[in-house]
Amino acid sequence: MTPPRLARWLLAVATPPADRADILADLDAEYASGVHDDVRRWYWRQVRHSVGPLLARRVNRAMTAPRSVRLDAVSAYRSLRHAPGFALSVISMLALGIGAFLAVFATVDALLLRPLPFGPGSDRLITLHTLHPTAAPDWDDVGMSFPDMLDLRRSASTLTQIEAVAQRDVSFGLDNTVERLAVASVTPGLFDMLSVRPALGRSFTDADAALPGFEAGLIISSALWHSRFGSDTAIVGKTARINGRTLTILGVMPEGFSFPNGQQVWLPFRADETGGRANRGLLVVAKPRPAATTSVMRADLERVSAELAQRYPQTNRDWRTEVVPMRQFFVARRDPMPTLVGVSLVLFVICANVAGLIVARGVSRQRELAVRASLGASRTALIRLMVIETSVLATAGGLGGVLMAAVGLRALIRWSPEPPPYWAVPQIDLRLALFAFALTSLVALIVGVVPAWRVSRLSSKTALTAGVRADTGSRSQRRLQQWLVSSQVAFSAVLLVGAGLTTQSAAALLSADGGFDPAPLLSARFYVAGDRYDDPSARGAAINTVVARVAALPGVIAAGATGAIPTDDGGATSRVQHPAAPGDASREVGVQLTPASPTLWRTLNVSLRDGRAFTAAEASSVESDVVIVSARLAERLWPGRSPVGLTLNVTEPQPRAGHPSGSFAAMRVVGVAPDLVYEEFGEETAQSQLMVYVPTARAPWRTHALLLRTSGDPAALADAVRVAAREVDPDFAVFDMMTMTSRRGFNHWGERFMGQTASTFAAIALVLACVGIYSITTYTVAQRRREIGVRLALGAQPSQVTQVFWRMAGRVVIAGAVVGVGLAVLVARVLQQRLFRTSAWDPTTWLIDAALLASAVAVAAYVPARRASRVDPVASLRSE
Amino acid sequence: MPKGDFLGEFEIYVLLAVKRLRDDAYGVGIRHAIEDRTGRETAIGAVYATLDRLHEKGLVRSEISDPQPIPGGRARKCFRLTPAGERSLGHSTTMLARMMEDAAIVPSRGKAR
Repeated sequence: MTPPRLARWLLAVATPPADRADILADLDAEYASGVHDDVRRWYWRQVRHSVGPLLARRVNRAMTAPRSVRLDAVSAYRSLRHAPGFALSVISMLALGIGAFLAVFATVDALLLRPLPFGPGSDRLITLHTLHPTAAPDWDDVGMSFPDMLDLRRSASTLTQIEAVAQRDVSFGLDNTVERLAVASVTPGLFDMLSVRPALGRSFTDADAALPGFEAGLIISSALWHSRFGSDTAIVGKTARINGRTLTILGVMPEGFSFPNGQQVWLPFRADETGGRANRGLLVVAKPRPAATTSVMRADLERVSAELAQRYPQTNRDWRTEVVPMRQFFVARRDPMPTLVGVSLVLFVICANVAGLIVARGVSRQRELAVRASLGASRTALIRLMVIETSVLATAGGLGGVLMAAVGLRALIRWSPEPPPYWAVPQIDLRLALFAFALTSLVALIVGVVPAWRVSRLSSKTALTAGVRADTGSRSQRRLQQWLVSSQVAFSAVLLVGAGLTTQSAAALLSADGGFDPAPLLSARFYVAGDRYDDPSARGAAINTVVARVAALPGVIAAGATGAIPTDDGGATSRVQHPAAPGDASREVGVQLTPASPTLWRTLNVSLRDGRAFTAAEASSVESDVVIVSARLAERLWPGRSPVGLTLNVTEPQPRAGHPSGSFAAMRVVGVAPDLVYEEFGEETAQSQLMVYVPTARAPWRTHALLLRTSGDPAALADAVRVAAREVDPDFAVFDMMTMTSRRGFNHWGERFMGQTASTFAAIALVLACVGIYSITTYTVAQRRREIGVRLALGAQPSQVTQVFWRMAGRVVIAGAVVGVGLAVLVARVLQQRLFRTSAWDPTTWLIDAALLASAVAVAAYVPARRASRVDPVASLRSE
Repeated sequence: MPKGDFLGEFEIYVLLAVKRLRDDAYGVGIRHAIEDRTGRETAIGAVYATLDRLHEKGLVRSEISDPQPIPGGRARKCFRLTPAGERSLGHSTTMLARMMEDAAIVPSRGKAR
């Protein structure tokens, strides 16, 4: 009669070795004695109730061994002080790895993990977007029109509240100063939906809502309240000028609130309810009904969209409504996950390297450990000694890492031209410090477990002899080190490929051809502010005057105005009817429409393919019926023919009485423009280069882009341009002024940064892998000196000796490289969709990376392998 | 007095059993002594864990006995109260008795197996 084996095994594991035999034997005896009726059940009960207290006791003992832990810590500190090079290199590597990881993780935490800084339930909020089949599916710039939003409020059953935000820039006047500020016009219920109340004064009410330009009150941010109003607590009721009109300050939002992104002023918003259905510029935020799932919401919105399409075919046919969680909408292109993967790989490489160093150091300490063991140190005590030593190292590395992360993050935010959303500024706080602690413990575990496990397998006898004869008992040791080095090579290969691809993609972005030479160009935007310009023809005239003024500045060869800055942002999404089937809505073509001054192409120094530019008369008439189309659009609509003189039906660019929004205006094509890139590179869609240009006064947008071709340094003209615009009207603010070249760098900062970061990571990993190869080869050579001496004495050629070590290093590298390439293929597959005009399978990148890796490790292995052949057989044999 | 000096209920049982069993105070004996008197099944692990704790507090000490005088008899770990253990046990039981007097509780004979 023997007890259940599993139960007995469990009990044996839980019991301390000293009492194990007693406890098991006593229970065995009682089991066999026949005292108990259901003896198996009794045994299991004993085990069940014993395991808990016994394990708790063992954990407790391990934790409360203060004296010996303190002694171990002191001993660890001493032994590390005797190896300052080892300690310093391990600590600095760990600090680097932990610091980099922490900095990147802080951004992940800020963007994705921390709750949104609005009231309860704000994590469930969604944003609504409209999609048209002619637009690319990731066309998230398209918002919603005001009338559509009102219809959604009435008919969507899955949403309890729907609010809209219109973002624009205004001239903000106070006393004698004017500055340009980002404002958000919000429907009165928005703050309530976000559960945010003003810190001072009141929120908007429905009665405040007004058409843009007719508001009576505004709410300001805390930042503006501090900077411009001296934190005046009696501010409510005072006034400020918005675009030249005097408005009353109704309230001040709480500290840090700046929704949706960086706004300083909020205006109460409503729009024309009848027209403007095609005007899809609003950011719409909604609150789902408590139990509504995304698929239920989609179905509901699909139904409403279909109803709208039926009722308003002119403006709503084929338009769908898409749901995006609010957080995702804000994070969109700032996804930090790829960087996190890269930085994790670096951390792994560092861990592997540190573990390798510790193992190597453990070898030289085998003797010390063996002496400790023979003097009565238990195996647990030895493991604890090792663990404490790595913990001391990891703790120092962790502290250094937190410091590095804090410094690095600050630099990152300062140098980033596109700051993170205001609610997601990464910082090292208590949460992150706790995470850093957990991370450091994990790192200590990774780098410490391997050496500790080695020690635990050490029996005192073999260790003592191993200490004497350095070339025995080290086979598994060597294999372990080889394994560690292989993994470093593998991770380095992955990082190299990632770095190669992202760098190439960033270079492609920076050098991509937008269809014009950016070097001599200065670009800026200006805002036509003021009630005086409510009339489109007044706006057109003002824009033309500004262009004429800056064109006359000394040093300016040509100046032009257009709706958007090429290679920075696109025009307005619009549609044209296919000339072959004017009435067929299914053949309509989605295009980008933008106003253009007659001088635009001369300024960009490109010539029209066909026809002519606009005339000055066309540029100043709101009734102009001429358009210029891009070459690509001409080819699409009139393949192989010149469209000059033909008619094109374009959705009305300037809706007015008799020409409702969404109706088509018949326009005459007067020219064909070369293809320019208006969108940022990497954001082009199928319709990006299908451009329709209309004369300035035909679409006199309040925000216009100003382009200047200069004879000297474009940057030198900045002040003169500001002054010229202000001379036309003191409320005209010129902003976002940059040379075209620096704008390019600015726009692709993120990609460039990714490329540089990946390259840095890859370089670090490669160097570490080389160090690994070098040290393992050196180490093996040192261990086998005797053998080498014997071989050489027996007549082996030095080259044969070198080859032995070459082959060893080669095996390690090839094993690592094979695994690395496998992983790199996975990474490349993921990267592919983020790359710009770069194939993830680009043979050059892969070959260069392979050559780089191979040559670096070859050098690292060659030096010590060569040294092996120079061993003096006599000396090596005598030394033992 | 510092609160760490109070003994837990189970600790008191174990100490009393050790005191009563004298030379026979080894693991399984202690367990049987407690089971017999309290009428509740006691896990061997709980006994050992408690003995270990009491040992750490300096209330018991252990010694390895001579092997049992039977064929294949084992040497066993036998426990004894230290002077501190005696004092602590005396203190705790006195306090308990006093508290019981105050509450006018008459100890019942209970149901022993």
